[in-house]
Amino acid sequence: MENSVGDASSPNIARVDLRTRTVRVAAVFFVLVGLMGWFSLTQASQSTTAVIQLHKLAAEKERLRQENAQLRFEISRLQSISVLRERARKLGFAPPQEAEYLYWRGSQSDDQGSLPTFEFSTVDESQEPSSLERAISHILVLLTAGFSN
Amino acid sequence: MFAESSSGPRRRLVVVWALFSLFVLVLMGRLLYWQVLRRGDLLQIAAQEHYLSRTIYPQRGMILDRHGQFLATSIFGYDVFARPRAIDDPLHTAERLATILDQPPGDIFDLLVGDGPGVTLARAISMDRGEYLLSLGLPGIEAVSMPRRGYPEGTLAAHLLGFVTLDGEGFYGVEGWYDEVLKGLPGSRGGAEDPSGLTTIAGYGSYIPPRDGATLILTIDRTIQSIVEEQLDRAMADSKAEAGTIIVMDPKTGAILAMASRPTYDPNRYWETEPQELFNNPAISQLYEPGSVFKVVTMAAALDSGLVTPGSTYEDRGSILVGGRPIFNWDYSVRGTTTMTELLRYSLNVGAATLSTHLGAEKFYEYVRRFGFGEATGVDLMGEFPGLVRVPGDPDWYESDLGTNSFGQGIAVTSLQMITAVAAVANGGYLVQPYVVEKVITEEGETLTQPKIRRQVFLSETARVLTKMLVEAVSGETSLAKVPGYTIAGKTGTAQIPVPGGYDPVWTVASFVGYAPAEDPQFIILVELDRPESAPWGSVVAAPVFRAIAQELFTYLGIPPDAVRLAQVPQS
Repeated sequence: MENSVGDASSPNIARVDLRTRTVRVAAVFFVLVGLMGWFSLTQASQSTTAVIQLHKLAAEKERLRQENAQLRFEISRLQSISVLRERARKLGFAPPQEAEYLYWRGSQSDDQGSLPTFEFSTVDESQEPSSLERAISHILVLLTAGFSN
Repeated sequence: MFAESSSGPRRRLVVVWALFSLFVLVLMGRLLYWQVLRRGDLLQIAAQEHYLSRTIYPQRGMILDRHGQFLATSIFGYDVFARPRAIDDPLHTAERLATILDQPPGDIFDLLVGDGPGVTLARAISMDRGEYLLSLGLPGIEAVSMPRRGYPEGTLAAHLLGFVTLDGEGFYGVEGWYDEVLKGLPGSRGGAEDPSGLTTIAGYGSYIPPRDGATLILTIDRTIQSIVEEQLDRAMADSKAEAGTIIVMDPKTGAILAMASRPTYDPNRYWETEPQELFNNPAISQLYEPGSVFKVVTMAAALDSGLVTPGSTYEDRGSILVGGRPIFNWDYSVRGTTTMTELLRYSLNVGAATLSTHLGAEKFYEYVRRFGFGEATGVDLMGEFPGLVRVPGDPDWYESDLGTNSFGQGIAVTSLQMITAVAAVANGGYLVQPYVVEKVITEEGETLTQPKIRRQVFLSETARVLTKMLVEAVSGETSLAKVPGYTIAGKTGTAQIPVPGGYDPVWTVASFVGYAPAEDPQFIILVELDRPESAPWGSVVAAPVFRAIAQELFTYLGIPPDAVRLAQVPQS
């Protein structure tokens, strides 16, 4: 009888175990699938967000590049020679008319009565003015040749 | 009966099963067809539907003067388009657009009610106006930012620079010659877009960065260019000339320091230029008879071939017959015994014709060719003409041409050819190749232009002697070119203008070519004025322009007078 009962109850227990296991497996399966879906969606979402951000940055970079070009043009236009000339004129400056060159001949006094006339000969380099003399000469030139107010 | 009734459903089941299986097979076949065999096509169609490749425009290379000042830069402007079918209220839209686009509302309205799917309303409007237009969000109106060209100096050096069309093509001048170098390569960025136009997937890894165009550093000095243009404008006003050209060049290297012509145009608004012939750079494309400036060439040939020396004389009887055609001096004077120096000083046609006939056609034209006439100078500018020289053997050459060509008649040259030829006298006998681009800067590095000597035209001794004669010519013939304290070599030219059947009885081309300081030239200037009203002579209208420019250049370039420069200082 016990055996019969036992025999009769054993399939029930096995059926219950099988059903529980199936439910568990199914639950695990659904959880795994859910996790995978969530992970996949999260990844896709993050990727899309990153792409959108990337495109926004690229667009911003392009906008700045265009703005930079525009500003460069504006600066160049404001520094153009016609604008500078007009600004100088309003400030009272006038173009230099004639430069006066003062030549410093050093400490030695020599005959300065007549300056050399033009000849088609190369100037002897040993007789050219020294760098100091050139520098002083150029300073004098700059002082006398600048804008006259 | 039972057997019949049990086999009937089974058969029906078999039939249903067979039909179902067939259906599944067909379905699987179609799936196989679309998913495997036509997979590539479907992917392509899907990509076309959503994938979008946006062009990233490169920045056209900048053009700077020799001191790094911008002459041409890339800027951006908006092109404005309309989709008429998407516009609900064309009248209201036209009124809103009219103020922004600076166009009559009626014209815009006509475009907005058209049948076409899309229409261009305006091109290259400013960034400010374009962005304001976009902010309005007018239905059916789109504005797209497009690169365009900006010339911050306005009309300065317009002929030399050329211009760039709204489609990005460079024409004329530097823009035309260096178009491929300047324009760069466009890039692209791919992506998939959702229905709202939002890019959601960075597409297929296709990002190709744009490659900006090369930057050009010119030999042009914008200050010298400005001086030249100011003086040219003044000369045009004073002489009431129809047109004019001035070139300033370094005679030793061929580097162009300034090149200007009038009338001119604004490359920022090139589309408003009328007539379009104004786009041509007269300095390299307009042919003219040089007149007496050409006597420099004739004299160089005579000196170099040993035919004469500065002191050689000829008997000037006021006329000479060449090929049956009488040639007279410009003032119909009779000079008697005349030296070569006097020939240049008084610019005597009879003397020049005497030299060319003594040289002979073969030798004379050989020198003409060696001076570079009849061939392009090779300058790096778009649209250069080679000139026109008729030589013996040509069907339209006559013996009388040997006489008239000697003083610049019957021969057509460009201003650049003429200044390059005289530069050969200034630099010791070398024909240099003129150039305007000093340096090309790319991502890979810099390329510096090396001055190029095309050939030696004559001996340096000839150049030295001829320079001295040209100094004498300036002293005697045209004192209006002289700058106190400086030795200047130069020659005037007054040429008649050929018309069908002969020469115009009134109008002339007045010119002057000179260089300074004569013994060590730092610059050479050509001034050419077409049809001056105030006076026909080069010595009267062109020489003073040379003097004014030279005077300013001496100061600007810091060139001291001869007395200071050549002073001999005793060493302590």
